Amino acid sequence: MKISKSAFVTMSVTMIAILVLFQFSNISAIYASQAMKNANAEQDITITSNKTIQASKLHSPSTYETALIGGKNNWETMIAEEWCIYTKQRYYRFPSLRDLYENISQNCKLLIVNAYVIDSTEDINILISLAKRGVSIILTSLPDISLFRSYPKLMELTGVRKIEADSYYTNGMTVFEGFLLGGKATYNDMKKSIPYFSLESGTKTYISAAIKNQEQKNIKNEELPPILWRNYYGNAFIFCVNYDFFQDHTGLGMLTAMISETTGYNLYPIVDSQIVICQNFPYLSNENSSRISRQYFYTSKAFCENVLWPDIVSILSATGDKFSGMIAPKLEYSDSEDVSLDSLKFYFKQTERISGELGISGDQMESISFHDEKILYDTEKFKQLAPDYDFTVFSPGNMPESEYDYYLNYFGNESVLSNIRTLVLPKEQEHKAILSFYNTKIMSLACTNNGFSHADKEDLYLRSIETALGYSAVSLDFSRVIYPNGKADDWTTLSRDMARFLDTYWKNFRKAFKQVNISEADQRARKFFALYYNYYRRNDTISLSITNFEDEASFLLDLADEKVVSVSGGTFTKAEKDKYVIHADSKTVLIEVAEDLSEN
Amino acid sequence: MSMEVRTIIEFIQALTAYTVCVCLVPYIVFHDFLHEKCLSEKFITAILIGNFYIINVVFVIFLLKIPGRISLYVFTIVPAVIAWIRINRPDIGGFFSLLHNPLSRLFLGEAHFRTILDALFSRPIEIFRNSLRNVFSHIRKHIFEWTLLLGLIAFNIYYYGYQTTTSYIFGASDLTVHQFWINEMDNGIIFQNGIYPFGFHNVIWFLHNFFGMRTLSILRVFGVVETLFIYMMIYVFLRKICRSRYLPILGVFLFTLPDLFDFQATMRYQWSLPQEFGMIFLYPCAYYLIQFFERKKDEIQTRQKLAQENRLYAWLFQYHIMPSTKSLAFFAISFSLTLAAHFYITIIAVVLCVTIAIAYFPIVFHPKYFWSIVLAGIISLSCAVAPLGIAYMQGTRLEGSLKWALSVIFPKEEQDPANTIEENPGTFDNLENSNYTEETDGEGNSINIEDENTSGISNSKGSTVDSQNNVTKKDSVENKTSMLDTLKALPAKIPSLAKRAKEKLIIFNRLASAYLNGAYNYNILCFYILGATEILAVFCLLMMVIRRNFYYRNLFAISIYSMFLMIMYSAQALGLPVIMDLARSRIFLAYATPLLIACLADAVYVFLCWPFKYHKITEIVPIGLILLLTCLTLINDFIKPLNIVYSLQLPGEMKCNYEIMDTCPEKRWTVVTTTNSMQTLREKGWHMEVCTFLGKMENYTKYTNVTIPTKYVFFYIEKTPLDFGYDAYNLVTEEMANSGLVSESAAAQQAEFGGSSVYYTENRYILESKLYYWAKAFQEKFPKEFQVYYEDESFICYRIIQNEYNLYNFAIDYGFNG
Repeated sequence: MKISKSAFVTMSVTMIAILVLFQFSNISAIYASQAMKNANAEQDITITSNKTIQASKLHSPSTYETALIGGKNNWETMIAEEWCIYTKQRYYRFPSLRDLYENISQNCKLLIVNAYVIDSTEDINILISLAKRGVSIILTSLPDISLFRSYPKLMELTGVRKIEADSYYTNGMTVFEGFLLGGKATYNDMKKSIPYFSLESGTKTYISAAIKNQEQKNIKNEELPPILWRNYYGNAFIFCVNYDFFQDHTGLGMLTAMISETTGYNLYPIVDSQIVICQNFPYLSNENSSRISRQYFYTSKAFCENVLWPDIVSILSATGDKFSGMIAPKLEYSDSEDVSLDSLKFYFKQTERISGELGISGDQMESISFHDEKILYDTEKFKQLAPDYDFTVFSPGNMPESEYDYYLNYFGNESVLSNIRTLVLPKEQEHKAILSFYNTKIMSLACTNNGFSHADKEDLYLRSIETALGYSAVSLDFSRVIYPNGKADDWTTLSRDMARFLDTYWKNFRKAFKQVNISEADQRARKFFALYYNYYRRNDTISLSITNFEDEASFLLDLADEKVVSVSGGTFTKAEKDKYVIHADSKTVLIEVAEDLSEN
Repeated sequence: MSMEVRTIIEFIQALTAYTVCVCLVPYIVFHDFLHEKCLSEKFITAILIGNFYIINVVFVIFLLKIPGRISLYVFTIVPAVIAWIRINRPDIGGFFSLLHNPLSRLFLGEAHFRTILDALFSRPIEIFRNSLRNVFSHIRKHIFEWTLLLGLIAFNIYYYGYQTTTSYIFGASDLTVHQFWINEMDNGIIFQNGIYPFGFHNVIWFLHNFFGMRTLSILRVFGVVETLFIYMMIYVFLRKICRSRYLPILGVFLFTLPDLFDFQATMRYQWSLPQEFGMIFLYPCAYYLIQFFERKKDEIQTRQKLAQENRLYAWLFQYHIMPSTKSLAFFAISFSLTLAAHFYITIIAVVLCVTIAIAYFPIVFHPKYFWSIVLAGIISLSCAVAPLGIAYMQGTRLEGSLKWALSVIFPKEEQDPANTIEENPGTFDNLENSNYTEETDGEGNSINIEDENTSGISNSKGSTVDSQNNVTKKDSVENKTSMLDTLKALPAKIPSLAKRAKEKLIIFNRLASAYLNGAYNYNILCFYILGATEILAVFCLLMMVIRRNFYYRNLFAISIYSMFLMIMYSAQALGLPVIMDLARSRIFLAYATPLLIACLADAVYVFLCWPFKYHKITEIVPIGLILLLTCLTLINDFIKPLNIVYSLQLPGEMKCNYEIMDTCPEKRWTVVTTTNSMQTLREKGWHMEVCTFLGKMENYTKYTNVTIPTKYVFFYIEKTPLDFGYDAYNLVTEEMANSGLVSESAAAQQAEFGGSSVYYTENRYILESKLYYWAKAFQEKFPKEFQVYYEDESFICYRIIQNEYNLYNFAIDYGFNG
């Protein structure tokens, strides 16, 4: 077969054109790359802590809506206080019930009280008189069982019919549908001995204990030891918590859920952010290579680039989550191994390609940590290798606050931490708030979950925080992979656990809330703190008006067998039955609801 | 969708489905057999075939123990298709060969798909067009008849549909039982409470399963559907016996528009009841029996004539089955359908047939007639009794009401009527008892027609007759010789004798009409209708002597049928055996009255217009009569007022039933209510009685536990508890008869929590009051969860959604726990 000249020319031109087009996109990407610059650092911070509604603005001795009883350092009271800030409730803390009773506000609708402040008939009488006045009471923990025996009025108040056992070993618990986000959940690994009460009619149980051999013991579901229930007394609801949920932030979402149960519907602001944080990844050094080589036949650097990175990217792209990496230049600062420029460039470019974000980690793997050295070393290295990149996110990890506080608050512009705007704290570090301002400028976000594990307690914690804030930050600590400590730290196992967590346990919340990186979450948290809101309902229309509105705001609407039909001034997403996320894009939002008897 | 609109849609659905099943499909299947017959005969025949087929198909699948939708479709469609092919012999091969050519062309690429469609649908479209043309041409030719008939039908739809459209409820307590039996058929059980004529139930179950309609929906509206057919039967039957084309409409008019009858005579037509369903087949019995006599006579005459001419076999050849035999077959079918629907209809059908037999005396005893009729009777009885007999042989016992019905027909010596009525609690027939005590005649005189008084009357009458007889005997001996003189003097005495006879007759009629009090709205009407019956009977007897015409025999049959029903109505007062209780005999008497009046009018019309040979012009007389009566009825506001409804259920309750069944997942909800909605709710969910619920809370302690194990729980509360159980009723336009608003004083009273009268007026008032205050107290404890689902002035429904894994304890101290 003979090819004509004109056909030859056409084919050649076409092939060249294709070659040019393909190469052009690649070349242009290289030239247009901004990987070595942090786009988040270019915008100024518009919402600082003094523009937001913090405790000082909500603390109101005369017009409080919520009264907190307990000491300043009482952990349960602190959680309640934190919750008041998140829900923008005017509150006031009293050291004792008597103090409250002497200074009761006309606006007071809710009393959050813990077991430690109830120890006399007078206290119980005050609670009873408040209940009769229509003040709902939340007992974040129950008084000692002997107090119940001594004061029958307390039993009446809390809806306890009989004390079946002072201490009863429970095997776990069941959180019933509609209380916390995520639907019904049964936990079989939360074994604990709790007082066993049988409840009166007119009570509603939200969490009940699970016990072993329930059928053989001939105990009906309704007769199982109650963990969290509600009683109606006088003119108010009394919520009782027969568990230590308020020893950490697990109780936070429960407060929200309890308030939702007192009204026909509840509308409250949320952060609406889901973050995946890869702690100590990317890793830029080549330490612990001998151990890694034994296990994976790669050097640490090669393992990270050729195994971890592709796996992480494929898992995140499958789940749709955004990558937020906390760079660990080195994990052993006594080691002479230097940071690899190739690695740094590789990760910066790759991160840009997947629209990820990079911050800096504060972790070290040595028994004696060289925190000052680390900050100085990192400052120096990044000045050399990535002089244009300003880090805005810092995850201190195991670095003590005292070590980095100076750099964040007082140090000049020379440090790698000079431009930090977001501090990512480990889960429940020193009872710190989930969201708070570290200083006027820096927003502190706490991790809520470990992405490599998902125990029952962690699941309950996650659900609770999601219910309260629509927020979760999953931390994946890759120092475990680079410094494995047994079979459990093998990447094969951990990658499976990570995929399982992201794709299974987290899935429901992903549907409801937005997947963002840390900087986006930071922005959302600032807007969340800034806004103030009011709402009311007329027939099937809920009107929401927002002050200090900054472009967008998210709310969670908790309905009772109703559904959102339409939203004007915003959009909505159904999180689950009766629970809707409202995305406001104007100051006034009108939400139309209608009855919904569907199952899901 | 509002309940009013829903009811109208359901009515249209039920009417369409039933009409298609009993009119359209039988007509299509038996097209070759029916197409040459007149429209009324087509109509009546199709209805008989359709109902007979449906009822027996259901019996067959149940007795073969294969109930279900698939078997219903198979057993319905397959025999119908086979019958259609056998009867109409359609050219199916020809159809396929016709189709073959365009199909081949399509595959060869020579034709479009449209060609195939043309080939497929050209014939059906043509048939459809022709049918439409015929229908319109028929309507055009009979525009006046159709206008009048449709007008009357429209009024009846309004009149009988008003209650179900505005109050949505059943209205009759019996319906709950029938609904229960039909629901049990869904579970594969026929004759749930024993053997009973299940024709009505079979039809409802058929419509429910074949068309997927809800039993509740059909039962609510089917009363109106069947009533339309009942009314049409008056027209069709009168068309058969009347000479005038328009006087049959007079019959329908009299039963429709003017306020002639006692409200109890027509109230049952509002509701879907087996007896009323069976009434559809009452007049077809007479229709086909009369047709049999006519055809047989024609056949005998033709046979004799053609036998003489030696052309008999040529004539016989055209008939596979002789027309008279077909008439008799349809008579047998209609008679068996009366038995399949309700025993009382069969009793009336027997009366009707006997009166026709009397009218056709002595022809009826001619062997050519008599044995055919006897055979038809035996076959019809066998057809109707066979399913019941098979079920009986399969071990099913007789249903209680059959024993009751038999006890009414054959009362025991020691049994008094009051006890008989008590044996049928829960039905509204007891209402009639009030009419036994005292009623007034047209002149305002109080007439006691209780048993004792009745016997008093009969005794005095008897003694009068006896004394008269004694005197007559003496006179006959003494005056034997002067008989001739008397006869000679007779012509001179005739006017005075006639006057005396007339006076006697009037007195007798006045006395006799007193026994009919309560049958019609005005007692004077009883007198006139009795007189009309006598006049018609005497006139027909005379005419039967003068003219050997079956026409007069038919009219005579109607007159004595009316007389029989009058006697049956007053049987108790007359001291005769009571075959049927007063309430029901009143219904049949009322249903016969339009026949009687229309026949009398037709007799007058025939007598007057005889010289004019019944030309179209002569029809001006009946048309004028109808228009005149219509105008008079309208001008004098003599229109039948809307009927009554029993205080059985509140409209809100039915509204909630529909809403819950439509929206809640099946079998995951419970309704706590009285027993009124029990059968309705059982279709899709669960039911708990108020007395059970509250009874568990009596003597409340903090250990009392009441749980209901479904996700959704509804509580129906009557804010104005109904005056239930003593046949309290009110006009459909008024509020339901009730005991007033629930009250704390009532709630504080001790209630009964069991027994047959637990929901009767007083106890119902206490229970509903208790439930109301329980709901208020419970709502305080669960304001978010325990919500008002529906509320109107007299009814409230609460709903609570439970956590199925941790149920609510509904037992609370609500202050009236007893």
